[in-house]
Amino acid sequence: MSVIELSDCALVVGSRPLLSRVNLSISRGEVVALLGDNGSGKSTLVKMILGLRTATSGQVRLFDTPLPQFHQWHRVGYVPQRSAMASGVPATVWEVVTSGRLSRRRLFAPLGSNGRNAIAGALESVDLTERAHDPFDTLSGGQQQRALIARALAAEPELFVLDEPNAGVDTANQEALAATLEVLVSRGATVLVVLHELGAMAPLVDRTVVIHDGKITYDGAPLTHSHGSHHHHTHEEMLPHVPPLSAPLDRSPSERGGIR
Amino acid sequence: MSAFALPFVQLALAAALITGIAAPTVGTYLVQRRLSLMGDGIGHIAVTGVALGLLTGQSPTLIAIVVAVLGALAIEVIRATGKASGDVALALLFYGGIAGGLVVASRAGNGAASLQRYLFGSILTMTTTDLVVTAVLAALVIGISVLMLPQLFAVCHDEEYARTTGMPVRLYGALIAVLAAVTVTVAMRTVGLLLVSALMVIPVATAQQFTKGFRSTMLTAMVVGASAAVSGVALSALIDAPPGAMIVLVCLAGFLAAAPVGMIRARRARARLPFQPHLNPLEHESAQHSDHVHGDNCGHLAVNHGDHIDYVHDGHRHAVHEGHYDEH
Repeated sequence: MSVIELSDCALVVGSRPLLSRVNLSISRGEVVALLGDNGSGKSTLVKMILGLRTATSGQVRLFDTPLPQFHQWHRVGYVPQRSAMASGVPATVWEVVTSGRLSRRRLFAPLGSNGRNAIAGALESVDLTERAHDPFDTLSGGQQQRALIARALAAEPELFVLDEPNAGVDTANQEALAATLEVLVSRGATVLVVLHELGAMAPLVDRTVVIHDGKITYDGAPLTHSHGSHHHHTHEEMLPHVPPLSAPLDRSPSERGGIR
Repeated sequence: MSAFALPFVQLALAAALITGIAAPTVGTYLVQRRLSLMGDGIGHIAVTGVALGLLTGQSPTLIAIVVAVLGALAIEVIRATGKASGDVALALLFYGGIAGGLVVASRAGNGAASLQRYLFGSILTMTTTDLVVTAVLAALVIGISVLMLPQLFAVCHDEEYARTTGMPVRLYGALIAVLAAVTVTVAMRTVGLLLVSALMVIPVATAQQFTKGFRSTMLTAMVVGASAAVSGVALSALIDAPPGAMIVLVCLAGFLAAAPVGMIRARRARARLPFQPHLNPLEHESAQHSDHVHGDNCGHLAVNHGDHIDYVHDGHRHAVHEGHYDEH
């Protein structure tokens, strides 16, 4: 069975295609890296998979269920880019992580001991137990990223979708993140991770998908170097190092002005 | 004190207590969403509702609630669609609301004078019925704000993520807008439409100087708001000042008293920020003065540095190393 299945998906804004003819199938237990330049459509693709943006044609299926009918959101753990968050009131790490449990919580229902244990376990796996009651804003970039992973973990999901977890994170913390992901993978999680380059994640990745200008240009075994140097592959064209013209449009409002 | 034996003063104190608790609960969500001035905008729109009530002879509070709810939902739709021209659209809505209200009120008999009561509050003319209405609406606002805290917090904190948990995020956003509208109309009798936002926002800003989390901020803000509202009314009875304005001044005084605490806390937090683990100096340099032993409560600030602790003093960072201290 496939965990994520995109058949002939397109996303058009105005008359401008952001994604076109995207076909992708990810099976249980796979660790897939989605690579691409700024503005190539990789974040848009992830948002389309999660239902945050609606495909204008084609079908997105999660766990063999078409997206509009999909309700088992506790099976999905989303780790967004850190820049997407803004808050005027402090929130503790525990509060942020606890909001990840909402996909399993009924309205007005207390957290319960299962929930508490899951949250404690999630904090433990990202090594932030001691920081649980500190304000989220006082964590370093890498720690914030780990807290967001813990938030996704709190629902005990089967599929993790991470959007540029290494953005703004130093090398040492990138390795710590990779180690955290390795634990998830060893427990049988399916992972789709958007990356600018493989970096410390390389040993974990089973398969890379390269997206360029809204189209999938490579789907196969991991490329050892960053996608920019894959000109030796079947696709002869060099990928441009400047963002294509469509780049400014290929962002949702929440990303505008964020770290790219 | 004889003033507090008067029934209308007692009613006023009760109303102040209730609105003082309710306003900051919703205010916490608005501040979290960086919509601190939304209460002010809703207040402007509610002016039209009050004026329509005065003109038609209906209850101004009732009509104001309806108009404020519609206005708040319009603001939420504009916010959620995230158009670049959104803030201009909000300005149109706000000033259209207040100007429309003034014109409509001028058509009603002595509308302009009556409108004054809603613009600046009229807590001393409250009846028992008014108090009951206030209490019921406030209980609704507080109940929903507190019981739905996990959901509403998630929606305000990271809306996009909240959508991936399968929650009806749009609905909850609209719910917050409706709660804000009801709060504005509840508080308009206490502090007035023009000052209502102050009672929603300032207690939250004050609470933040002491708190670390969202829930603790909301609870502290409720206590701060209630104390400010009650003492504001009491003070105004003593010195014969307008109660609405007095409540806001007490709120501000509370914030000014709390701000230094927040500043000191922020400075301490910065000092304790861990040093980057890879920033160890390449060469080994041991500290010169070894007559002092660093440890718990040795008087020097202990800061995490990778896998060990640095003790900071006089611009040096000392780390324990085989019986002596290294300069880090």
